[in-house]
Amino acid sequence: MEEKILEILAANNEDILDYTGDNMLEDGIVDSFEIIAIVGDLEEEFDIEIDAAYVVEEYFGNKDAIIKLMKMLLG
Amino acid sequence: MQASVIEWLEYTAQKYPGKEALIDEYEKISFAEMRRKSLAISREILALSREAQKPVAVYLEKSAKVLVSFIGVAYSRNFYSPIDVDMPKSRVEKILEVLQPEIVITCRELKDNFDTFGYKGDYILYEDVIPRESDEQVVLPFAQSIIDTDLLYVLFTSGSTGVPKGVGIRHRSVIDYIDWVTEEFRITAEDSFGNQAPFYFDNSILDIYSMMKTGAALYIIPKKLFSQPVLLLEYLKENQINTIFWVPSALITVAKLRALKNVDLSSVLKRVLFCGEVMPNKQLNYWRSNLPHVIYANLYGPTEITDACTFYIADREFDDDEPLPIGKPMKNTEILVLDEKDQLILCDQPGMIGELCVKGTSLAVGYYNNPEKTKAAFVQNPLNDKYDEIIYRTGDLVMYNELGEIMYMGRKDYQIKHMGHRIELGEIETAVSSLEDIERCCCLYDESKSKIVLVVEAQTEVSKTELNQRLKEIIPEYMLPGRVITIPVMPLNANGKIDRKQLKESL
Repeated sequence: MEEKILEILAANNEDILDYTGDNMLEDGIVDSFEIIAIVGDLEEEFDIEIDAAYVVEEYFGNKDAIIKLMKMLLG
Repeated sequence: MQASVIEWLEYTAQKYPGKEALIDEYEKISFAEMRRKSLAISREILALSREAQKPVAVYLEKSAKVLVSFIGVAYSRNFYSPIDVDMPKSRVEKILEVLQPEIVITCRELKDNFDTFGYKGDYILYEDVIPRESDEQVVLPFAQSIIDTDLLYVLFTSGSTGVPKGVGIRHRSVIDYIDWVTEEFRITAEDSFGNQAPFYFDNSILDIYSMMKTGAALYIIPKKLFSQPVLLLEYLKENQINTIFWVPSALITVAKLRALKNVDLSSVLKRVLFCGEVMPNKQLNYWRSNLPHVIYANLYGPTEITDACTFYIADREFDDDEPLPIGKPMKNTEILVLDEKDQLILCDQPGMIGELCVKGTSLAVGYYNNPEKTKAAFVQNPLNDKYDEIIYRTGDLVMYNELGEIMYMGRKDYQIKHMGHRIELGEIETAVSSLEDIERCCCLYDESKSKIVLVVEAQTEVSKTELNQRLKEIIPEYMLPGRVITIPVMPLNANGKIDRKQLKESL
């Protein structure tokens, strides 16, 4: 699963994989349209609905946070 | 009779002295405080120079302080020009070359940074400016001498050759626009605006001056909330913000993540206005079905005609894939749709495509310190050979629909709108070409993915991350390519120019 998530992130913006900070939303690594596209791709790949409430720094701050969120949602 | 925007604050500060005017992450400023501090800034400007109509640059993080500074500049009968603190050095230098300011308003923290731009003039440090009893006496005579053809601000916009163009707007154009806004949408002191637009972007004119004229409150929404839609909507609810004027991308984010089901705004939100790029009906329909009692208005216009010149209030249903009209001209504005031979296309000639041209008080004086670019876009009305009458040629292609409403069709040139930012693809290409190891490049916009795509000619793969690292020094972040494609040989068309069409089709 992790690999698939990383693949989706890289397809939308390869910089996410190299980003080592904890708030890529604020650091300007991704713009809001890329976030939308990532959410859309994750929903499609894993056949789930990601509630907008999860689209916050805590769950979308970097790649690890996104993987953690997906594990939680799919768990 | 009104000669300046200052008269609005003179009125509201007297009528609603204790009422909150500006609210940001750090402070709340009442109308009386806003006036007091603006007067003090004005006093400092006048202490440095008593000459009227000089440029004053404002270099501060987005906050209430920026707006107080703007108005301080206006009180002194000078004009302001904001400089984004995130703008790369080389672009700031180009702007300073055009503007040649002798006074800059900044703060202690940012002054050293501004020094690096080679600026040699005077500084006013915001935190050092303390209001005095006598400010009114010193400043008001200057404010009262303003005439409505004086410049109020110069906003810089992307230029295709790499030199940003400074659009100069007069007091009378802002008065004309805001009178229309507040009348059309019945804005009163009871209303609250939720500002999204950066202050170097002219969508903010609506927020700033509607507040100043009517006594409404202006909330400056923290930028980071726009990528966290639920927190954003909670912010609106908590602060009872009933009017928003955002770029469509901000509304689209909320719609695509279905965030309106998380926060109920039905008893809060009254007006949703947008401008700056095309708003797709699919996302607008999401807003309209979730909040049916809100007024939705599509405003259209470039910086050169003071933010907007046409509007459409969504009054009927649209299919998801239908385009939304940009509507009809605002009061005291005329729109001329001219075909390739400069013949007028009438509103009862649906389907004929022409360039949208604007006539009226809203027109800028042109591009500051740039007569050539001004002459190319601000031209004599080709339909009038009897007296001087200037129209602005937008470069936007439009047509009338069966109902006589104006529909946006696209651009004549390579200007794009990306996340609400107006960008000349040529400015990006010029920046890329300035990098020593790049021979040829072509910049395209992939509308379906909302991505700026850069195609570079090179024998070995060019890394996007590395390229953007270098481009960041020249152009703003919002202009950086989202995708970089390396090809060994650029395709050329019959004229020997880069074949943009073929490149675009291959995306």
